[in-house]
This record gives sequence, structure tokens and C-alpha cells, in this order.
Amino acid sequence: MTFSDEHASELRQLFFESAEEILQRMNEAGLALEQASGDLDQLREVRRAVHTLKGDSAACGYRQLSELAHGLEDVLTPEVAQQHAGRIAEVILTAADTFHEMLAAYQGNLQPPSGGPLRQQIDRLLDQPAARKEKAPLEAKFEWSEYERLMIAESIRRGENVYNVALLLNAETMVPAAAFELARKALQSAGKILALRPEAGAVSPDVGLLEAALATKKTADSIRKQCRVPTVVEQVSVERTPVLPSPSRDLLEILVESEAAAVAAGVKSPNAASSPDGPEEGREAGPSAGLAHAASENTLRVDAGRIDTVMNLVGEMIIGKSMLQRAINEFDRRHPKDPARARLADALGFQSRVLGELQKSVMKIRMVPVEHLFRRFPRIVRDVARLRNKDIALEITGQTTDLDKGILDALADPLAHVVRNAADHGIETAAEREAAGKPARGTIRLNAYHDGDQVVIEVSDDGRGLDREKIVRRAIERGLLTPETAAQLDESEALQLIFTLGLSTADRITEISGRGVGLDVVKAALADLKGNVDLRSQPGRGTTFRLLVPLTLASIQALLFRVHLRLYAVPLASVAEITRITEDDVHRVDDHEVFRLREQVLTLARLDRLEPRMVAKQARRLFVIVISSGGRRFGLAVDSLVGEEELVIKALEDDLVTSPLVSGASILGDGTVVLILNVPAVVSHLAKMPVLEAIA
Amino acid sequence: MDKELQVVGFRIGRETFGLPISMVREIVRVPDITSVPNAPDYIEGVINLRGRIIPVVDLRKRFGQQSPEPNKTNRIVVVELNSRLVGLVVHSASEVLRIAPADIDEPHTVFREGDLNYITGIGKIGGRLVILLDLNKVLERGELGNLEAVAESLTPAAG
Repeated sequence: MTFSDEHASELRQLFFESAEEILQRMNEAGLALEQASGDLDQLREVRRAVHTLKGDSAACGYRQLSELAHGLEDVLTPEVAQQHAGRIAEVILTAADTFHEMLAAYQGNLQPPSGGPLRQQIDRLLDQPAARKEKAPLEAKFEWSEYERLMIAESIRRGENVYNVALLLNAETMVPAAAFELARKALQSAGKILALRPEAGAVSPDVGLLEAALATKKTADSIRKQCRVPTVVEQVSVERTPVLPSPSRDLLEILVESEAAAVAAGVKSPNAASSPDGPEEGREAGPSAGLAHAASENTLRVDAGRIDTVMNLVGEMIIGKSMLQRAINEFDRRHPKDPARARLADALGFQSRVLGELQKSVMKIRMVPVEHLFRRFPRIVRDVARLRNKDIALEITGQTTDLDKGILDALADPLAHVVRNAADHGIETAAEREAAGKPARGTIRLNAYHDGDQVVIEVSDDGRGLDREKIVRRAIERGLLTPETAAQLDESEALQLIFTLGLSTADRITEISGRGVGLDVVKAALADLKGNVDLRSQPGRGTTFRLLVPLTLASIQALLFRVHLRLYAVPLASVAEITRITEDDVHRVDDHEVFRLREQVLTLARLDRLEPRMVAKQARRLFVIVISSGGRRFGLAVDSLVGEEELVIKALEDDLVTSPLVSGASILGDGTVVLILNVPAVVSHLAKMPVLEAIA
Repeated sequence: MDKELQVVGFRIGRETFGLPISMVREIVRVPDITSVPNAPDYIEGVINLRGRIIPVVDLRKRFGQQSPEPNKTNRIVVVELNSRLVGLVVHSASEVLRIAPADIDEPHTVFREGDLNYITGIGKIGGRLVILLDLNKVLERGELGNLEAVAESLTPAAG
């Protein structure tokens, strides 16, 4: 390989990224073909994708993958699709899986799987060898403008040879503009470009055919040779410009003549539509390739780290702004009559407005539609449905909802788990469904929407619903609860038990889900994202999981309060209400302190217990922040409330200080460090400390 | 003559300790330290170092002083350790000491093994002794201590 190592690894990185997208396209097309095997557009789409994969993997030196892709490409023809209507989709999906495994192996520098089963499938389909297709002739028109025709005529008059050159660009090139540029350079090296279609600088992403009028002293053959840029130009056609003007003619005559010549060229250029196989190949390079690339036009691939850097700097500026605000406030107090005050206030107002915009813009860069996430699910649901012999429809809505890229990536696995779970356990078999008076086909709905500062992703099924009794029974069997506490659980608390470690309601263990790992992992993943998951379920009617995540991890609206002079914050989104109680309202039940809020009895958590070094002082009246987390509510006893503020989250980067009780830290305008509490962890931590011992 | 070693000297109790000057980023007055609940005992908390939040270890406690009195001369020595910043609370710190290699003694064998292996050498300047530290070991030992503390704290909770 001629690349330097660094270059090669960069290239590979790029390859792995684009390969992911290709596999996704294969999956989608495979599913579509399963529904309608005659859909030649889909077939072309896959073929193009596979072709790109073949070229790219060969360029990266992944020979095995490239060869398999090549084999697959042979199968993906309309002929084979017609002969083996049902099986082509299966092959595509198998291929997507095989390629995925191979890519994973390459990425881990492991020996890739052989892909034997895929090759067998391919060979089987190829038993009746499909006739290799001829390359479609170029559909070049060579329609030059008046001015260009004049130039051509002028060149010819000077005795130069003028050729109409048509280059068919490789439809799968990743960067059409660059391919165009390369082809143009090649033309330039072959002679003087008199006319060019499309014109330089006006390249649309779907440029497939490049036409040029070239004045040169070289022969048609050497032009052909020179224009064959590997991997960029697929076909070259060179023909002598059929204009033979005499030097004495005037402009009008030249125009008329060359117009006629152009018409002649147009007619002469073979009409591909007459051959049945031709147009597929020919058009493949044209407009439909453009669709695939349209989205990438005007798009930059930027390393996420760079955006993070900008985001951090914006965060610093927000802290700087509140420093400035404090300084100006102080100035106001000291010089209440100074006319500069108004100007300072104006400047600060302006600055904070711009800063707000800046922050929003940077955040938007990190936002991607959840569609990226949802795209994987049709395949997952289909696979589970096949394996379990179920009939399941997947409905997707809200896919344009934006979400921070980092959060989105971290959501992929937990969400996949929930969806798989719905397909595997939620939806019943067709027979069971019909017996229950439901349509045989089950439905899983995926939906996403914004709710204030949060993004909600819902996964609902119309399946059998969760069996509350069974969950509670399991929990008791496992010793997670005593029968007495179980009796006190309300509906939502009981359902929450399925997020507990190792608890699964599945009667049988399946390879898809039901191993008892899973929902607790989902819960933990969501907690890591400062999000949450809850669920509703109706027996016989279905279950809905709601995954809630913050819009961004960069900043949060927080409620600040003090406990023993120490400043803490909790995300405002988790605060249900704030109330005041006296010590007399606090009661002890077992090891917990509880208080009554209207009709509910809530657990009271005292943050001063977090700091054993502190001597607890007993205030008669307490502020209680009622936190709602994961369908549960509890109270946090605090000394005083400070207020609400937007906090720029800074990670406690050093592993020396990571504490599960703290989800992050932030710096206030006066330089004070404030810790953002991970409320659920704090509560469970305090719950583990017996109250009486803590007081003693 | 060999190149002399430059160390930042600081005091804890009556002893003078030294760290290679290349490790020390800066020395700052002790600001408000925000303590982190449930963090290891030897972690005093976190501070805001011009927009960065860095952990602070109280070296005075590491070296056995139970509850050191806060004092105006107290400083935080900010060091860079494995490309992370860590603050060390010390009684006082102000001087850069130059020690000729000839004046550095190998630590006594008692120090080389066991709990005291964080000493890399003893420097002599005039009549004074400077204890040169291997900070990685100092904090690593804290980590071990912390694990024990965790184990201890788990026992009553389980019962």
C-alpha cells in the first residue's frame, strides 16, 4: 500500500463510517424487497451500495470483504431477482449481517469470518448464470451554446482537431465534485477545453456524465487513454466534432451549421432506451445516484471532539458572562448615579443575547434526528418476528425529532433492547392474538417528541401487557422484596420492579431477550445519560416504555440549594414541587423517614447525612424539595433554597473524585463550584444507611 | 558538574518535601474547597482553578495529621499527574530548591519497601533534609487505603 500508515488508518476510519451507512441501506432495501421483490429501484439501490462497498473495501486492503461484495453484486440483477423472487431479499439481509461481522472483525484486527453461508446462497442463485450485460452506451448530447460553437468552429478553422468527449463518471464516488474536478483535469491535460457540461462550479451532486469539446493535436485514442482516471471515470467516448466549417463563412452561417451538427450529434448518439438491459446500467449512474448523494451535499464531516471544544469554550463564556454580571451589579451599587451604568447594562444585554444564540447554534450542530436511531429497528423487529413466527408491524413517527449525537449513540443499545423485548415478549403469536380477539398482526410503535428540556422516546406494543402479579412474585422469590412490602406497592412501583437487576418475567429464556440481563441495563444506561425510563402497561392491551433523556448534556436548568452552607444543585426537570414541613411531620417507618404530602406518603432523604463529618443541627422547619424520578417521588430535606440557574455541566474529569452520588459539577459566576446531585443514587445511598445509626 | 535538580519545596508539619519542578503547574492560595459526598476520604474535594474543576488531596492528612488547622500560609500545589491536574494542600510552599545530585541520598531500605515506598530520595541542603516524593505512589497508596475504607463502609451497610 502506498499510503503512509497515518493516512491509511484515516482512510479506514472513513471506510468504517461509510460502510455502516451502506449496511443500513442494504438492510432497508432488503426489507423493502421482501415486501415487493419486483422493486427494481430497490435492487439498484442495493447494488450501488454493494458496489461502493466493494471498491472501498478493496482500497482499504480488505480483500475478503471485497470479493464477497463482488460476488453479491453479480446476484443483484433484475434477471436473478425475477428468477428467484423470494430469495433475493434473504441473500441481501444475510449479506448485511455477514458484512457487519466482517467489518467488526477488521475493526478489531481479527481474522474475518469466511462468509461461507453467504457464498453458498449466492452460488445457488447464480446456478442459471445470468447473461452478463453490456455496458450501456453513453447518452451524450453535446449541446453547446452559441458562443461555444463559435469557439469550436474557430479552433477547427485554425487547424486543430476538435473532439466531443463524453466521460461517464463512476456513480458511486463519494465526492462527486472531486470526481468531476479530477475528470476535468484529465481533460485539460489532453487538450484545450472549449466547452464543458456541466460547467465547472455548477456541479450538481448527481453529475454522471461529463461532456466536453476538446481542441487538441492528439489522436482520439490518446485522449481516451488520458481520460481514463481509475475509479473516477468509468467510460470514455471520443468522437470528432462533426463540424467542417470553411474559414470564409460568417458568424450566422457558422451558428446554423454547428446547430445542425449538434442536432446530428444528438440523433447520432445512440438511444439507449431501445435495448432492454441498457437503461438500467446507464441510468444507474445518473439521477438516482444523485439522490444518494444529495444529502451529503453541503455537509461537513467534523470530528465530534472539535465541536465539543467549541461547546466547552461557549460554556466558559457563559461563566464569564455571569462573572461580568456580578461585577456590574457591584458597580451599580457603588456608583448608583454613574451614567456608564446604562451603557454597561446595554453592552451586557447585547452580549448575553449573542451568547445565547451562539450556545443554541453550537448545540444545534450536535443535534441529529432520531431517525438515525430508528432506522435500525425495522430489521430488528423483522428478525425477531421471523424467529418467533409472529406477524409484527412497526410504525415509526417523530423521526425528525432532534437529539444530541452523543446521547443518541448511547441510546442505541438500550432502545434496541426495549424494542426487541416488545417484539419478543410483548407481542403474542397470531393464534394467541386471535384467541384474544385482537388482529393477528401485532403492532409496535416507535415515537419521539420533545417535552420541554427533554426528549421522549416511546416504544409501545399492543401485546399482552405486563403481569403485575408475576413480577411481584418473582421479586419476592428472589428475595428482592418481602411479601409485606410487596403488598404496599402501588401499580407503578410494582411495574418498576422489572428494571431491577436480574428480574425477568419471561417464562422461557430465549436467545433474543429474557436472560434476565437487560432492563436493568436499560435503566442504568438511561441513568448515565441523566435520563430516565418508565412504563405503563395494561394487561391484554399492551405496554408502553418511555425513555426520557435531556436534550443535551452540555447544560441544564438546575435548582440550587444549601445544606449546611454547602451548595448543591438538582436538575430542575426532576423537581416536582417544593414544600415546607416541620420535624413533627416526619415519621419513622422501619428504617425510613417519611412525611405526608397531601394524600401521599413520601420517603424523606436528608442530605446532611451525606457528610458524616458534619454535626447535624436540628431545624424545626425544613424545606423539602419533592423529586420525581422514575415514577417515584421522594423528598429531599434542605436548609435553604438559592434559586434556579442554568448550569454549564463540567465533568469531574478525574477518576480520583468520581462519586456515584454526583452526576457533574458546574462553576457559578462567582467562581463557586457547585455539585449536581444524582438524585436517585443519593436516595438509594441514604436508604442504605439506617436512620438511627446515622443520628447516633 | 552534574546538573542540579530543581525541586519545589513545601512544608507539611515540620518536614520539608520536594517535588520535581517539572511536575508543578502552579501554587495557589487555598480557595473554598467543595467537598464531594462519598468520595474517598483523602480527597478533600474539588476546586475551581480558573474554570477547570480539579480534585484536591490534603497531603497533610495523607501524612498523618488528623485535622490540620487552616492557616493563612496554607497553599495548594497544583501538579500535573498523568496529564491530569491535581491539587495538593500543604502547610506552606514558596521556595524552589536546587539540590546537587551528590547531595541526594538513596532512601534507606526501610523506605524502599512497604508503606513508605513513595520516597524516592533524601536531599540535603545545608543542614536541612528534603524528602523527595514519588507522587504516583503517594496517591496510589491513598487509593489502596480508599478501597479498604470502602470495604469497611460496606460491612455495616450489609448487616
